[in-house]
Amino acid sequence: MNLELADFAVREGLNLGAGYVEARMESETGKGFLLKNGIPEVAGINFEEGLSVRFLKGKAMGFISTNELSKDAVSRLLRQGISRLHAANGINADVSFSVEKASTADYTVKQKTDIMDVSDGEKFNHLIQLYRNIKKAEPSLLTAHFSFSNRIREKLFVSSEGARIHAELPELSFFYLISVGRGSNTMQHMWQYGGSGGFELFHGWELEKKLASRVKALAKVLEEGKPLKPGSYDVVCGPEVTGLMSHESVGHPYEADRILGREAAQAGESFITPEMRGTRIGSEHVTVIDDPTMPGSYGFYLYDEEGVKAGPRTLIDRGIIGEFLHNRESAAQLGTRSNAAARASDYGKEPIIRMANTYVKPGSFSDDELFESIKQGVYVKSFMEWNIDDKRFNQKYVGAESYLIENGKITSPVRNPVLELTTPALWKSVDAVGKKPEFHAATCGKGEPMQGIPVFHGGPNIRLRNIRMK
Amino acid sequence: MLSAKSLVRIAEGLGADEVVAQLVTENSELLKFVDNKIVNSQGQRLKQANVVMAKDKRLIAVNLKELEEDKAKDVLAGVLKNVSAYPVNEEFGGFARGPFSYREVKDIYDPGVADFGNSGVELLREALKAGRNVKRLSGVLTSATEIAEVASSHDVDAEQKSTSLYFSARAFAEKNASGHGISASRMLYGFSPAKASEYASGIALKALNPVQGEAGRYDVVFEPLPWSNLLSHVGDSSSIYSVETGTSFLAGKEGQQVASREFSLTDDARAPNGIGSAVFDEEGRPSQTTPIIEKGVMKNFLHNTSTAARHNTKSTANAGIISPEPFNLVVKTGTYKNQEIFQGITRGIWVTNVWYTRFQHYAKGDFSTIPRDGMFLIEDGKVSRPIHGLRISDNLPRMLKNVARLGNQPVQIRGWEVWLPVTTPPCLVKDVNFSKSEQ
Repeated sequence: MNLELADFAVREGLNLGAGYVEARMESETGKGFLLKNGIPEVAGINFEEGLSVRFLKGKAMGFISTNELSKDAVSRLLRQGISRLHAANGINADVSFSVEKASTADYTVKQKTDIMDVSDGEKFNHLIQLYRNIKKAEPSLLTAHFSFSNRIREKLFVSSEGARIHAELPELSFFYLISVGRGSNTMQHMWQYGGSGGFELFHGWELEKKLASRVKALAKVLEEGKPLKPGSYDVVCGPEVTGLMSHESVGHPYEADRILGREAAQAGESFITPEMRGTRIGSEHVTVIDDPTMPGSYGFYLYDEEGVKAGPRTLIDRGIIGEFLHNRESAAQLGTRSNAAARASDYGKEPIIRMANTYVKPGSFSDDELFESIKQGVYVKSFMEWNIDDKRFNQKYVGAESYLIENGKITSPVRNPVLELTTPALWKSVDAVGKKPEFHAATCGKGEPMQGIPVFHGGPNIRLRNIRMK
Repeated sequence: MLSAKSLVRIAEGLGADEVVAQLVTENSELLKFVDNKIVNSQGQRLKQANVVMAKDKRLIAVNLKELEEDKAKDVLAGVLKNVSAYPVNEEFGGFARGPFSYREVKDIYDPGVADFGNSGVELLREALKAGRNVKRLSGVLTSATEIAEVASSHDVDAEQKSTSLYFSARAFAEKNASGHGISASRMLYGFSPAKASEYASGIALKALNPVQGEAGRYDVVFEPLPWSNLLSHVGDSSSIYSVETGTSFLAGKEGQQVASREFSLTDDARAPNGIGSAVFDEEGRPSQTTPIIEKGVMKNFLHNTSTAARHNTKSTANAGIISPEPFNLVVKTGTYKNQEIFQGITRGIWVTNVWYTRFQHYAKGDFSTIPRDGMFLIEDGKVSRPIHGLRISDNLPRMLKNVARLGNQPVQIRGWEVWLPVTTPPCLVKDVNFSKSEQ
């Protein structure tokens, strides 16, 4: 990677009159494998390298990016960028950044088995074997779309304040979309696995066991499941559902750029206001954390894309609204410090406020304890359809693998039970939190242009009392 | 200088059986504005080279970062060296065989956009002025110029230049009263940020003081923006790849009535000023116009060369090397003028935008989506009052069969959730189910 060009970009930005300049240089080697119903469609190999520069001229912000890695190209783009700011005199916003320590660091995510040491043929064949074994064990699998990808990103951040962060981040992910059939009845499900590390993660996911179990469970729902009689139920949400809820209705509305309206145009705003900090949003059982530094996680990083050192953020503390997710811009606006939430999907996108690994903190309840007091309830173990409004207030989750709970026991499957409720109603109804968390990978979308970034969401089984379901 | 043709020559020289190479150079600008001020002004220059090679029925796509001939050769040689360990794709049916003669597509390149300078800033100033009746406007204005080359081992060597302009703004009269306007064009003549801004502001002002809507069934007038969001999924379903992966609700319906007779949908890769219009597809096959649904009857799935071979049909020139994709979805315009479309509706809702469309079952079309920005009750054939807090929870094939009226004013839409460009007028769909949070 041409590290010197990043330093040049910062110097050149300052020479052109910018008061603050930061450069991000990234190089990526990535591979992807696509399998459709057992047929190896294509292998994709991606080599990419590029640079972006973000700068403040006066109080106006500019950003340029290119994969034409020459001093001439960078200089030309910077001049054009500054000319654009001048042309917009009078309609440029006043942007300022919170004061943060200019860190210097170099870190690497260790791999037990280097992902580039495993041949492409072997990776492809793992997918084929996975499909064949599941299909053999569970003939109700009708269609299966698998994709596996891995990449190693080398990243450098330098700023005119003296920050210099170098990182090497290997990452893997697996995605499936399956159709399961029993007679003329069918269901579909999709899910993602991911993490930061080496190829050992792939084996750790136990895909064959988990996918076969999922196909079997969905087939049972098709065979025996009945629609839920609408009414009031106690609900236990499995870790997959809990995690998604924490992401959608806690992580997103606590992003300070939404709260301040910076993403109003597309990703939306938030029902949370700055004045709501310290007020109750959930029961005392609910604590929600976002932690970029979780080892092996899909949303892992130690320094964000503004060079700020990362750590865990407590979004809800025992039901009380805690901290928001901040970058330097939002922190300056709200008179606080950044908590290192600035992320970008690649060098060509501006860093904006994002989650990393968001989860409901485990409680003290065993699974037996969670279920035993429920007379009439529903266990929503997994979901397919979901959505939430753009202020993150009204949400819907439709169960995939779901069961009735009767007199403390999980009994028969139910088909597509629907939870449709508001965020405060959801988190205030939680009266017990399990002690066994799971963490699941997802790709979170935000920004315009759209940026998809890797995240974890997770948590344990949680129990919600007296929820109207249909 | 490396060209698509030279990449093909290198790959052939290294032993690839079939090769398609693309070389794309793009210059773009983006102005992001929030509360009537530009918060970030962006410029980007990218050059991308992509080589897809087939060797003994194994398919590999390589994106190159270094575009010098020697370095490209080293990388491709390294890739091909390992290819024999890949499993065989028995279904691969080859790439398009040229030579082809290409016809120009009208109005996809505007020299005025290519030489845009800081004109975007001036257009944005006009847009902000047009939205001065509301408290705040937020959105983006982008411009881009692209030169795309395609070449293949089967006598394909072509190039096209194109430009594009996009403006998207949400206007807020209050926190809970907003509207969304879009202008998308390849040419300056079809680009009007000020008009989009005025439209968004008009919706926002109408949407002041909304009340909670009631769940139930309503006749719905969709503006082009939300209707496009749903039609993108119809476009997805029209790709034969979606059929193969079990995600198309149109699968097995060729020749059958899948929508009301009012509804016709075409993929028009040659639409003048179409945001997705192109001279050729990703294999270099000359682009064409393909009817998908005609008077409600499913006519054609979209194919590339390989999918056409395995389904015993002809390519519709919709490569995507792996998955065929639409270029521009175009809905046949109806006869209803703006206000006429509301006439006679006794219990209806006017939906001006939706977001977060998600499916419970792609092949059945069960889904939900959330109206956002202005949403209004329709009573006695007229828009009566703003409402909020509802979700459309329905089935897309059923909704297509309930299309009752189409307006006579088409609008070209692309957007955050409308990843396939869609040109459509407003549309009336009967008997749509709405749900709401139960607590």
